Amino acid sequence: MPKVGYARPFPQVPLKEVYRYMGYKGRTPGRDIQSRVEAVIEKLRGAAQPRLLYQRFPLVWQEGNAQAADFALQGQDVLNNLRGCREVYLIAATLGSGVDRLITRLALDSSADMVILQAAAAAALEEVLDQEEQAVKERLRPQGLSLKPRFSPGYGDMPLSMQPRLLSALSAPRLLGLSVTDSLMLTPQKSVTAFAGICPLGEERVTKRGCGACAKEDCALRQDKQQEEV
Amino acid sequence: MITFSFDREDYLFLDGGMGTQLQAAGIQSGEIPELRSLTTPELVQRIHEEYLRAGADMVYANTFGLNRLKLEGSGYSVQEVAAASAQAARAACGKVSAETGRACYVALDIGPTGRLLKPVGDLAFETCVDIYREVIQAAAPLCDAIAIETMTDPYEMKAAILAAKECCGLPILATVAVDESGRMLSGLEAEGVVALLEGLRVSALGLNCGADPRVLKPTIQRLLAAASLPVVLKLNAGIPHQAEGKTVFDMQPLAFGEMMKEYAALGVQGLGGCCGTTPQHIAALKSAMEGVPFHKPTEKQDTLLCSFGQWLKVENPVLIGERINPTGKKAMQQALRGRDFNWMRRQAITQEEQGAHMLDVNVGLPDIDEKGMMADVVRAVQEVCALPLQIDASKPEVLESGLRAVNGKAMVNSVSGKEDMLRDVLPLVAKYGGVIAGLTLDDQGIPDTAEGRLQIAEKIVDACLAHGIPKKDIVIDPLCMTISADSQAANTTLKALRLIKEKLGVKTMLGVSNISFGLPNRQMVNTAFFTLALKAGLDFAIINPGSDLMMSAYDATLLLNGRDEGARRYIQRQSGRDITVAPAAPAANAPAASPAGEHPLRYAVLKGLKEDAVAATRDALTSMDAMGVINDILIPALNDVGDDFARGTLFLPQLMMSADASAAAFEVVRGLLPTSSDGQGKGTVVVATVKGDIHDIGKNIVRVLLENYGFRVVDLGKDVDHDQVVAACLRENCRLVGLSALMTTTVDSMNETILLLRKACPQTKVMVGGAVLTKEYADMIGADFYAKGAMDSVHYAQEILGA
Repeated sequence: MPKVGYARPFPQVPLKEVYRYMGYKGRTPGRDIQSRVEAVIEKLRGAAQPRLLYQRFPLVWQEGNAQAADFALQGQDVLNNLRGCREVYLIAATLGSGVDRLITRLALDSSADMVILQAAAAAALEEVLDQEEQAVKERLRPQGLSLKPRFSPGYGDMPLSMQPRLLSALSAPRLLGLSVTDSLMLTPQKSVTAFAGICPLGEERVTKRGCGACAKEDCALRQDKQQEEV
Repeated sequence: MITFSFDREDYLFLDGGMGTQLQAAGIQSGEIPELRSLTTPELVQRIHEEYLRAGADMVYANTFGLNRLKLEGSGYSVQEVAAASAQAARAACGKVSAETGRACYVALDIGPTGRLLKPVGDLAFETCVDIYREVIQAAAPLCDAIAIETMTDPYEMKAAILAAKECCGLPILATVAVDESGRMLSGLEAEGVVALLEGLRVSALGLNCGADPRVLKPTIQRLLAAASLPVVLKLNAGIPHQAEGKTVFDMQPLAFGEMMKEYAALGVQGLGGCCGTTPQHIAALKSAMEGVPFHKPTEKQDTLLCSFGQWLKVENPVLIGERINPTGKKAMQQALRGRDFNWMRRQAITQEEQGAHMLDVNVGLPDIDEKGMMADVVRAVQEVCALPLQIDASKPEVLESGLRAVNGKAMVNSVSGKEDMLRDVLPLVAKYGGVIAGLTLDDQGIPDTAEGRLQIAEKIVDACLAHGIPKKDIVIDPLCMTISADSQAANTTLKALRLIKEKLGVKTMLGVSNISFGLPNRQMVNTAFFTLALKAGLDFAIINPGSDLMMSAYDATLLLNGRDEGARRYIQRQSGRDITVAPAAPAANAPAASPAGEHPLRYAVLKGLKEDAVAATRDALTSMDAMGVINDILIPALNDVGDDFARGTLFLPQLMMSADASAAAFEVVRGLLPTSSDGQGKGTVVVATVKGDIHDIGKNIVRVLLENYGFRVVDLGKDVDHDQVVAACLRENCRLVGLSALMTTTVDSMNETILLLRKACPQTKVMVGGAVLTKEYADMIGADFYAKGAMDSVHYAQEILGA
């Protein structure tokens, strides 16, 4: 039986992703920045306590609208993402409040390190989720099932007002120490909540995916199809 | 009605999970379980009765998640739900008690609010206290005890305990939830939990919920080794997993009973179940515990302090970093007056890195609001540093402010032999917890003899004991006078130290610098005295951890006193520091060679080389004046870096490295700038991340850049209230405010702030920035300028402030 586990080891942080979050648009920074990135990742490793929580819920469709864990999913983009799914995973993950403290510490004397830390933390968190996603896909494969790309409140037209419902459905405040502010920001800062639809094996693709699904055309981190893999 | 006490002669059995039982009875996910006390009270009462009949002595009322935040929009009030829940539990107790003749008790169940407290979240500490107070006031009259449980944040735990203590006299059981490594989410381990909870004077403490109970044995052992209060365990039925869309726990009643029996044998006084347990689990627990001998807790003698994440047991002498104190320190006085909390944070971090075990916090200046400032500085330091703190003030209300704000169990400096201080301060220590430092002086002054100081120490200890403060939480400072005025000063103090330790059995403390007042090479005298005092039994020393001589003397003394097995610690700290070797040639770290014709400072800024920038600045100042360095070298270099960034040939980390290098250069120059009458530099800009938003990277970048360009920046931080922005603007009389926000939801907050600013400071311009903002939003909320990129804010500031 898969355990609803919580603590995860700090992952191998993919440097390409760190550079992308730092705004390098596919380029690689010089050696001096690279070694700063390594040093910051080490600090992050000491401060982060990755924790992850997810639960499988039936997805109830009614006239093109979907409900999971007794609340309705809002926005066309998530409904598009989950098309064809009868079940969905609700996911919550965080790197913990130690990272918030490290961000504040670094901001005091080194803005460069602070910027790098932001990027590294985002990359680390995504990597924790990606690894878990892989593990879940392995378990689903013998059942002829797979996962759609994960979709979070705030993506596309899915409103942030979904956050509190998602968190309470998972008891995330109690189990992960992950909560949300009055203005719907996740706390601790480096945290993610998401939906991942369970679909038949082979049907993982969504018609619009990745940055293409998002309306912010002028985002500095936007990835184009033509992006070279460095 | 018999008054309930956790100090018992036999095991206390608690109930099991309410949530699981409600689920079995058909409660829907998304329903608020506490409301069942109003909608189906018979069901709630029945569940209580089942637990009582299974052998529980005490049931937790159905109030775990009850607070006004959770009830918002439900149409119900906290008062009616709390009363109904307590009532159902009370009725169940009355029924089963009459049936069985056994005493049955009700605990008001207080769980986490579900929100995170500042600085990580947005819930203010006092608001949290208020939220809990509302629940407790409504139900306490119907209950026998308060059970605060499943807390993972020490600050939230403290808020709940204070709320309970301030509005009712019921005994408190406080249990925390720990993870697989035995820590609360803030990182606090068992000893720290004991320090915090015993300091706050709860009646019993322990663990509930949390990680797989099967791995908790080491944590339970550590808890028992540190605790003097009764220890309670209310654990889950193993671990949960998903089976057919439901959450199922994997430990059956028999196995649960066996596990709890094993834990009880370690010396626990109370047992019960949490998530996944049922009346069958409690019955099995009761049955397994049949005939198991009961042991009362024993008094432990260790002196413990803690923060939210670290704990400290006083074995080896403790170093208290003294730098966050305005006495004789111009820089700190300036930082206090200018509300420069970043300065305090930096002091905290530096002292921690230099090896301080604790930090003193003193904000004593006549012309500021000391009470408010103490709380602010404590919170600012806690944001970045996990060291335990010493609250240092001469006014009781300032001490209280600090004690209330501290997230942990702090040291309190100080009381003396003076009656009024003892009367006003000791009750604070008894309420908030703490280790109290007493100075051996009274209305007659400081006694000349060691015996005289011992006498005052006795008086202080007696007063403490009378207030319920145990010896282990008392520290005496026998004070040291100036040796150049009294050649016996050191001997007197050292003798007093020995006497106090011998006769009173309490800990001792000294601030070592007074001894050398008026002498040359003060450090030498201080250090020698320090080593003598360490040998005489000094437990706490208030020192400057930046003094390499003192810190090395500490390392050596520890070693020589036999406290450093295999000299491991000494070797680790002192390796490679042989002072008999000639100091490294100054050119050892030669600055990177700049291309011919390029000024070394310009090159250092362009390349983001911080140390080189500092060296190059010092060099440049030998042939240029301060303003020349700034206007002719630094600013043009930053402009070029900014242009490259805007063009996309240079990236954010490099921009930041250049900004850091320039900031370091600027620090060197700052002292030499012609001070205008208000020290404003080129003008003052107030920046803040607005209320509701806690992301401040963008704001921090703008701050650094503005400072580099010669502006004075007042940084209000993040999640800043509208009126705080207005107050700062009025106070600083500034003409430019920068607001940042990351989220669409906080754009409203920006709008609010701008409206208020327009009314109060009509001449002030407002610039806004942040990832989510666009020109359209900026126009909509009435901003004067939309700063698309970091450099845009600098250009606008230059335009508005005429620089």
